[in-house]
Amino acid sequence: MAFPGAGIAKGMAQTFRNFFAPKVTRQYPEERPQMPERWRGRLDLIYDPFGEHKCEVCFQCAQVCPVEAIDMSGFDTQGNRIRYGMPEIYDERRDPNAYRRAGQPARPMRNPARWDESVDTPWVDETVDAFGGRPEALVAIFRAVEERYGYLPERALRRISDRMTIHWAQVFGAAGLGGFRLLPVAGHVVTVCDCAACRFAGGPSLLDAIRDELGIEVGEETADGGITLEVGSDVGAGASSPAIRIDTLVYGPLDPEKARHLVSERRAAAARVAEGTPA
Amino acid sequence: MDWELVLGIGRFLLATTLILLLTVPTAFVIIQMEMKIIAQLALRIGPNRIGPRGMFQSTIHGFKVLAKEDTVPDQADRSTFTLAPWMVYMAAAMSMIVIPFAPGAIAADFSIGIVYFFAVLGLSVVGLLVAGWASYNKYSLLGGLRSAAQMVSYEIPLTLSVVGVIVLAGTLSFSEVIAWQLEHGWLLIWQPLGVAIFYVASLAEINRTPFDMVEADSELVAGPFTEYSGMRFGFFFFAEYVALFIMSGILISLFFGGWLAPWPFPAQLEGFAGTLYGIVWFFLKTYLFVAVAVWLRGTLPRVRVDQLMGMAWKVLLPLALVNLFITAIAVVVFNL
Amino acid sequence: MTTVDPETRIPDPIELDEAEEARLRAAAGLGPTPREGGEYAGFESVGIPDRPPQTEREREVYTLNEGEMLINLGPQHPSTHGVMRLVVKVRGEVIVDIDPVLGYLHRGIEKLCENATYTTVLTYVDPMDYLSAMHNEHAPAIAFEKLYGIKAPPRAEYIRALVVELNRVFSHGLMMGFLALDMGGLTPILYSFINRDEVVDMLSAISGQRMLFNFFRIGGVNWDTNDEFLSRLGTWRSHVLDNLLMNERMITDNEIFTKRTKGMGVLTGDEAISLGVTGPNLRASGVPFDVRKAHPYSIYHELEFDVITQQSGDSYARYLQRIAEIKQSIHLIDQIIDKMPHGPVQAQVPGIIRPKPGRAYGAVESPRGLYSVYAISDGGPNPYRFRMRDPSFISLQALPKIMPGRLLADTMAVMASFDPVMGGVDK
Repeated sequence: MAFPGAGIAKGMAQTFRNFFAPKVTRQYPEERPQMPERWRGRLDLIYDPFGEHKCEVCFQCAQVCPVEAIDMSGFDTQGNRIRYGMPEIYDERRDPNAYRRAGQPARPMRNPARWDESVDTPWVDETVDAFGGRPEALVAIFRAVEERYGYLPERALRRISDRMTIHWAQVFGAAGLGGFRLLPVAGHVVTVCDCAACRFAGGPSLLDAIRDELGIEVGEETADGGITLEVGSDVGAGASSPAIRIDTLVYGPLDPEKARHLVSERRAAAARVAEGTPA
Repeated sequence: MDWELVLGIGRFLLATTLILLLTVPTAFVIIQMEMKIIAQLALRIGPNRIGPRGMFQSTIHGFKVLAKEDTVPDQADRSTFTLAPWMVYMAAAMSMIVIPFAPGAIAADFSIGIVYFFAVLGLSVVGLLVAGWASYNKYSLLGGLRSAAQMVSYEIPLTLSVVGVIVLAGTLSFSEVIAWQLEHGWLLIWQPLGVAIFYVASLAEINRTPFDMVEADSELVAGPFTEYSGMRFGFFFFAEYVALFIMSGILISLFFGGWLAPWPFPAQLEGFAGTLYGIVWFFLKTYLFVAVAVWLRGTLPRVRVDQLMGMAWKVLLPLALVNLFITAIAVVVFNL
Repeated sequence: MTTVDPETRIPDPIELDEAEEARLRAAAGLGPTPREGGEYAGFESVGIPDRPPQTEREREVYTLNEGEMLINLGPQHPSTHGVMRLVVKVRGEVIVDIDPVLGYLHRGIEKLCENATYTTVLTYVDPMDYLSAMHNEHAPAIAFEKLYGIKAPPRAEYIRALVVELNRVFSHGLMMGFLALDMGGLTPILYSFINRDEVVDMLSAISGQRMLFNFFRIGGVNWDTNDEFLSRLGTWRSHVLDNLLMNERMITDNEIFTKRTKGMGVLTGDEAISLGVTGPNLRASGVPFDVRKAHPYSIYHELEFDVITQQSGDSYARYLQRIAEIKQSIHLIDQIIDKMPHGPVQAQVPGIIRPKPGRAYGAVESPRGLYSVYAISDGGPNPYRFRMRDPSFISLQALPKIMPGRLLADTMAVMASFDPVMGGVDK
């Protein structure tokens, strides 16, 4: 039946029905779309198992790009920095290789000993399973491993990657960026926090006291190899500034006397362990 | 000392203050309704992050409008440029004082309330014209002229459709019209044609879709509001939504029983309880019609300007006159 | 507090430019730049070229008679379609003439393709008419296969036809939404996008991308269909007609909509042919020309379908034509799925092909019209000349023919009914 306004009424009826229909919005950060397996939209640089970028900096992509959208820099075989892009950016760009972040030079020596390091694989499996293998728990798993070994051994990372079926590159990237130690250190590590809060709260005075107590400079080890001193801004003490971290335990807020006391206790305990008496 | 006079003035001042304070939350609520309802019609969710279920989104919009930079075109006439939003907003606010919220809760219960209302509402046309002219922008000028033409032409069917109500109820005061409806039933059934004309004309009068050629994303950017930013634009924006509320309020007062409940037991209470009861029903009905207007906005495309004007003069005006004619004859014949 | 020493300050580049320009103009005897004006300073800045008109048409458009005014519907449009500038000469509200000014989205694709291998060209042409990217790739693929002298295997041709028809479905669906949006209806476009999202998810399952697919190769397509694609196709097919109906209910019978589109922008069949308008715009004016029937390519000669036309040639007819074509495309998709053979999906082609010197032409029916490619090869790895004929460009030329005499408010509606996409217009 056509009355004037019938078309409008039909449209309005449709919207009225849709008002009560289920909505099609996907709440993005909570519900992510299922990308198909052929999806070519990932913008990642991939790591190879040695922790280096698979990108060889051959500049082919930059040269062929029709809109010159790609810039990059890298090292050639002589160790010189080469770049395709603006000098003010690309000469200063540091190679974001994970080992370099750990303090190694840009082209790390492949220390065969590291590939043979052994790791308590069942324990790593247990740790991963204790968190249910959830990807969000990666950092917690790293912490557990670091607490046991003092650093994140490569074998352990591989095992975690296998066990959690997360791509090796992502595990390695998370470890490198997350402030975890990737190389073993001798003895105990005393890290004095260098973040803005601790600095304002008197961190430098702590550092001076500890340096005085141990007799070494930042970055060095004590003569008996028991304690390494370093500064870092990722102690993560939050409101308890100024803080220090010994191995994985964070102590704060401290004043120079207390810091001195803690470090000397730790040193004494390490000495007792070295001797064989119980700590 | 005439205490009654003093008390009356005091009451009036309090009422008008409350009304001015009421305009902004009303605008926020209506804007929020609009965002959510139009979204739901289009199978979306609408804002849902700010506040529980997105309730505070329009409040944040209000603060954002306050925080924006206030630009005035270089060669614009600064004083009239500033005056225009004020004029539009004041027209809306002044007309709110006669809206019958509840028995005993009308800010100013004039005996010529209806006439006052339509007279003051027409002042917003002046504001739009001033905005268009003072912007020093030919698109704003064209937009302002179009808007003025639209609003002026739709005032005539708007007021004529109300004359039928006046003739039937025999009074120009809102509260008495509602009292008449209490006795004789809602004017909706007495004046069906009048309701239709009034509804269409009121949508056109407040520049709502489908009649918002003036301001929406047409080819002339934003019509007379093009050069306005920040709180100046905020005033226009609020005035538009407040006008929607006002028009819906008047619609229900004149035709749908105002503060009366839809059932006769009781339709109206006495005293303070009566005021509360009336306010509840008034707001329910008003927001129902606001929701219908928002529904129309989400569904319909825009009517073209010349078709719009054609509709006012060639369709609505004759219909309104016919309605008046029939009403007058009926009153005389049936001695109503 | 820093102060600037006027003796040693660095000159402002804008001042330098202006001084330079003044000097050059004086040398050419042209007088000062007509930029600062008197009272009405803002009113001439429509961007009228500051030189004598170079063509007859330009002289015709930019000469103002009594009571006429030039208005710029500028490149920043609230109404979609991309960046386009329309210089409209109006007398009051009535349009006297329109001059589309194009080129705001020009990316030099034809020239870029001259430096790219034939395979790379197929990646460059996607973003031309970005809403129908598969058609953009299909035409060069046909032309290059003719140049190289190979044919794609039958399964590849069927897959090509399938994705091309899917592309047509969502492109026409979007046109419905754009048409309503340009008239102020806010919801039909969202319904169109619901449909488009499903189709585009489907196409991303088969090609890896959602919009600029890069799916066609010389000699076939890149990948075969997979389970994800087919399952999404099945789900979509089961409710696409309902979606379409939901959208249609909002628009087709709506009185406001019909009053704004019926009788507006009438393009007669003869006018359309003489302008070179093709595709749904032409068929809506009554001319039964469809490239799939007139110059069959791919596997269309094996599929059964009719050429639909409308008679009135106005905006409403163009709208109805596209709805009919959506239904026809769905019918075609059904047939394709039924008839798809097994087999390889790409012919054996070397990495860089060097066809013999020659010329080839490939034309496809894109949602906007006849989309064709003319390629000249000189025996090397790159095409010597790669020319694309885009239908939106031609459709825009119809605007100055049909708009004069109409109101300014109709411009957007009529333009939306031609469904131009600026990426194609400007290449």
